[in-house]
Amino acid sequence: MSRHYSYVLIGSGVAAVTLARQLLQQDRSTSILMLEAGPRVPRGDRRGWWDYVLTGRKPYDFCRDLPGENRTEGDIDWGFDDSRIMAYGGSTGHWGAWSLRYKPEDFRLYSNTGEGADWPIGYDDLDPYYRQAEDYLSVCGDTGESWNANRAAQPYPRPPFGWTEADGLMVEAFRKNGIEPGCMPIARYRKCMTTGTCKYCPIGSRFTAHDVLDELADDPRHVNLEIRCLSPVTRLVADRKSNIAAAEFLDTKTGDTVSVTADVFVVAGGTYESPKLLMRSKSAFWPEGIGNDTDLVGRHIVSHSFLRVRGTLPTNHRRWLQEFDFPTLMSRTYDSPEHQLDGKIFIFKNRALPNVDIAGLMKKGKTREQIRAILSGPMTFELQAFYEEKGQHRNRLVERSGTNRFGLPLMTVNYLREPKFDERTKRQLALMKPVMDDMACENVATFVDDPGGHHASGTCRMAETPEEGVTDSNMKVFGTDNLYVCSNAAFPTCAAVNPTLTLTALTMRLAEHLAGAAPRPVASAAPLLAQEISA
Amino acid sequence: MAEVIAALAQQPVSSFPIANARVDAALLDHEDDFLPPAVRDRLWEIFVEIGRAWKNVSRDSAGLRSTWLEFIDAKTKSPPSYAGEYANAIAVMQELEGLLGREKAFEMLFFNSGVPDTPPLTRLAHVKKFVIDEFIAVQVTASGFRGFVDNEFSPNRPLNYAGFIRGSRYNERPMARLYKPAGSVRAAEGE
Repeated sequence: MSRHYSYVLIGSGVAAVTLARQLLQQDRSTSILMLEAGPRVPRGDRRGWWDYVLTGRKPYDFCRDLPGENRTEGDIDWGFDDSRIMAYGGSTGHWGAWSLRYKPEDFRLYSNTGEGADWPIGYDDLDPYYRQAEDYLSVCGDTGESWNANRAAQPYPRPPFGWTEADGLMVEAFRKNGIEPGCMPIARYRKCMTTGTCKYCPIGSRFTAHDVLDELADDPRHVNLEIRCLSPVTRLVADRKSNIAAAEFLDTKTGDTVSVTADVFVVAGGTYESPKLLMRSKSAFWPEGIGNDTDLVGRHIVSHSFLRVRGTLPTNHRRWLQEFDFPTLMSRTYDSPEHQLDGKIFIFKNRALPNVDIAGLMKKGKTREQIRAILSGPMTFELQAFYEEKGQHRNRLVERSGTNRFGLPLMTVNYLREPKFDERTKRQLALMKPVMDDMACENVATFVDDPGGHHASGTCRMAETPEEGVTDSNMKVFGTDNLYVCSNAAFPTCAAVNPTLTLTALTMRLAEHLAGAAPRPVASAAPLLAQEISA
Repeated sequence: MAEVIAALAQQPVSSFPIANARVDAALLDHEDDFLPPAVRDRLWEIFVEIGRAWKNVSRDSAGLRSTWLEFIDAKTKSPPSYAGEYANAIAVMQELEGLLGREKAFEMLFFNSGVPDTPPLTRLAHVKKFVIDEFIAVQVTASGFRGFVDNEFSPNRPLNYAGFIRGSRYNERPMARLYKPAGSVRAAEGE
């Protein structure tokens, strides 16, 4: 196999798929090769859905990191479990679809606090792409919330999901504590029927890159779109310092290593795989790996620590349940410039509480009367928060020997908490606890959970100069002309909210940049006979 | 009644030779996805008994039949097929009903099976785990939850539960019990 493409996209998650979509909208005949290490897991499979309802197991669970496969060194246990999916469509297969914009101060973290980093772009640079991204993901949200004042002219495409009755007590407690209650912006199409099985939606009403990629692949105009699953990329090859000439990947059908050339390479392998690929692409031009002359690739890894306050009310005479499989109540009151130095928190009600496993009680032989008594008995509430930590140079992701079953290198995350972590989180929990107290909850307890991979970012961060980061303001790797990292890896900060909407907006911005950069026309690509979907 | 069931459950293995027999792998090794109508009808009777036992659905589960049939279809026409599990269930139920009578047989299965919460080894344990327990989960998510949650505060009100598909998405009824702050005028999805 020897083919030349306009673009080689590495990964098939929301970044790669959105970029492919945008590029194909500009030119339907653009030649794109998308390389995915994982398999293609069927969507909308009824047996898979029923088994999920019955057992909690999702059809894609086998595409996760295995316990113990990756390691942590430092003072925490980095959460690898359940944090990503290595498969066609990437982690949008399981994402919660919480879709929040970063706030203007998030792009100025270092300037505002002296910690972390600034972005080389500002909120205003991303604002128009946020709107595009919200339309694309079909975000349901409430434009009237005070933190949305800077986007007043850009209403959400869909109205929000309302607070459930079980949210009511916490809504009132928020107000007593000067916390503005808000509705969680969620990416849900109009056809959502809220089955509570969002992690494997039976009717495709939650955005997944898988569904978009299927549509792209099925479009007969996209004759030069090729998608290969089970094809882990092993190396990028530079033919001179500034030019990436080829990507090598393992063809798992034949066991052969295959080389493909392209005008532009985009690494969209997430915060883990993107730096690993750069680091192992060593050559005479890049002895420490591509983009790693200043030893920053893999550094500054950061994610959200999880703060929780849990309490119990003695009775639930209205038999309240959460009813939706996502939180409907949140607030960004403490996700503000005033809280940036201490670490902003984004607070929300636990999406699964209060709840009672009725079927589980029936299976145990509980009678109707016993079950109804349990439903009316004590109910547990939990207020949760993402806590923003600042990226630190000493924290780093590194490869270690061996590969996982998809051919991706194993890794170790070296991570030490920021020096003032304990005192800062104690203060943040002190902001949260009065909410539970005002709800008259008993046995109120606080928890601090370790960070993990769900929102990991920073390993190829954007910066003004190569001394400060790995990629420039367009996510192009410093020192190269045709290599980009389109991933959370390019985020200089992780803010206090979920990253996917911001990544999607950045991807749309990158697509415009690439259109302006005008790679060589499609005629440079060897003819392809048909779309190919492997595995 | 509980004493009767407990006594019956303590009878020697020889009293329930089928139910207490260890499962032979070949018994459940069904490549064939065909489920005879007679087996399906017997399975439906088991499903209906769940609603009768917990009194959480109306009209003898008639409104849940299409959901249940779709479930059975998915479980027998995609690998691994449950056709063997279902055939096993019918055989075990025949034995239990023959020895205990229909009412007591179901009472034992639902409320006092004695099956431990460990990997199932006997034919009875397979019936409990792979038929009874799964049917219970289907029944609850197919709207059976309402019969437990409904009370004087929410009679016939919208109510949601994990797995529940409430019908047409064009239905104008709200999806869940929603909190409305005093004076709220906001429009929300699902209203």
